[in-house]
Amino acid sequence: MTVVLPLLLVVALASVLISMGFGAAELGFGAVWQCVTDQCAKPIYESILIDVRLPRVLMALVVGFALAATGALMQNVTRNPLADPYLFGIVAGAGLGATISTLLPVSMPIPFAAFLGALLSVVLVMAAVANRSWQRVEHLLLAGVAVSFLLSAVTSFLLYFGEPFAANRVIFWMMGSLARADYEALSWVIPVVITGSAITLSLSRWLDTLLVSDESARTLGVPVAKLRILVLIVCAAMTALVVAYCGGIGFVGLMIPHMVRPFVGLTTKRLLITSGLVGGCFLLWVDVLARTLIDGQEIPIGVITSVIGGFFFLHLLRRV
Amino acid sequence: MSKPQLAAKNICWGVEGRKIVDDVSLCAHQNQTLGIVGPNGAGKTSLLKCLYGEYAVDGGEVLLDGISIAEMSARTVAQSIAVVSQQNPSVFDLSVIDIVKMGLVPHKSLFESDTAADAQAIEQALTELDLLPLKHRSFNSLSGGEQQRCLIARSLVQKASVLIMDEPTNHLDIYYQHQILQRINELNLTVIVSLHDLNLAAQYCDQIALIDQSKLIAVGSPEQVLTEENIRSVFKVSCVVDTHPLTGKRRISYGGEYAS
Repeated sequence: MTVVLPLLLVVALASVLISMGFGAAELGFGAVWQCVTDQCAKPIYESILIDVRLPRVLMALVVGFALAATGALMQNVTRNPLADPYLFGIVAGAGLGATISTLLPVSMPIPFAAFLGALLSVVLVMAAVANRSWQRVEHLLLAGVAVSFLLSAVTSFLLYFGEPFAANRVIFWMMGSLARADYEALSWVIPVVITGSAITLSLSRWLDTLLVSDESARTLGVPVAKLRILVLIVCAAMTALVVAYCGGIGFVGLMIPHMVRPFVGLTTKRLLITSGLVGGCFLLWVDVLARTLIDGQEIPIGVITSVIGGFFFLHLLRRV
Repeated sequence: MSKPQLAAKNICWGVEGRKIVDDVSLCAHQNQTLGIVGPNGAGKTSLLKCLYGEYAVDGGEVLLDGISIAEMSARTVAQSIAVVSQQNPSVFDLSVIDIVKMGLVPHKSLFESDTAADAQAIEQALTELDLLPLKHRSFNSLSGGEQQRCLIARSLVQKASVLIMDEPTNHLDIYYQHQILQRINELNLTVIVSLHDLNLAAQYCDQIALIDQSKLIAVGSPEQVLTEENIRSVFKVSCVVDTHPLTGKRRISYGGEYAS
């Protein structure tokens, strides 16, 4: 950890700087370096870098951090290696929110509606497992799957009968994109991600005990049921906000913790921080690919993460 | 006899109206080992779970140093009672040192970091249980005996005065069965341990509680409890009880199924 963390921080910083040199405008790495160390060659460069590229790069870093960190947390808290941040139907809920705001005569910005939809899915899952049964991880997982399918069904129904152009917008939104990144979005996402990470990091000693078994954690005096619900709510808040602005970016939360575990182990503090940083750098470079792979056109980032994720798991399968 | 440390007073616990622990009273004395024996399904594990507060009793009370554990916080209970239960392998395979370190949890607030004294306590526990060379090994890769020793090391770091163990000798060969129980006896803790092997119970326990069909049949010294009559009526096997030539403790030789 003493080597890994500084190394990842350097990689993250370098990634931010280097990735700023990629984009549609003729503004390469040399020009970016000049802007950072001295003064931009043209005033327009400064505007492009500060107003267009920097928020997008920062958004990629923060969103990647949030998805990978919450993925690691969800996997640890549920002791399920296939858990991911979207376990509680958050994407399905956000998709429904976005669909309603786009297709129905409701005047509401997509991110806000998506956030409300994501919250709805979390509330439904919590309501489904209320009372004593929320102590059982299996109930939470099943409730998440059920709510996810239910909300997706409603979304599909609305899209099927909706106006095609609006339906297209929703479908593209659901594929994920960082194109909405701006400082206003960052002002919402960054504080929530920092607060959520700080809360869960402060609980890391307790969270580690869950890795053995719930009963083992209880015999060490850990309030297992309350702890799990608290962490799930924090993860849901972080994920809901990310999904609201960026749509459903799949596989990051599922894949990154699996990539990181062999190097830093399982315990929460190390796993959360390293997963977050690796996730941030990963998404940043995937976004560069999404922006530059096809000239003049952007590929939805969720498409690329899913392709990489799919191949990664096939690779993992061959090694096991 | 030393002073009572963990006591059950007429405790009952059940599921859907069926009593699994039925009016059981017993007491574990300081620095002594209390063995819980009984046939499969007698309610030994449930009784232990009541004793460490995993199951909230329906009636009666569990007293730790004279205070009901129902009135204590889970953290306070964990500072005094350590548990080594039967483990299922976890999907996420922690290292030995990660598990032993968890013993610190009941003594640490959330923002407190580990101190040099903590590191020393962990090192000492690992040394005491011969786990130092294995400290970076994964828990799932250990043998059954090593896993038990790892969990006992965790309870040493936990600084608990009472150790509750559920069938720690299960699946262990003769060497490890004796090794584990010998180690436990050397630790100077109040131990409550459920065992299947009556000869091991006779050899290592100061007191034995015999459980059958959720009820306490007898409690007392091995000589008082492990009688031919008790064993015949509870385990339905014929047996001869005499004195072990090596240990001087009770020795039970089984003759086979007892037809009453």
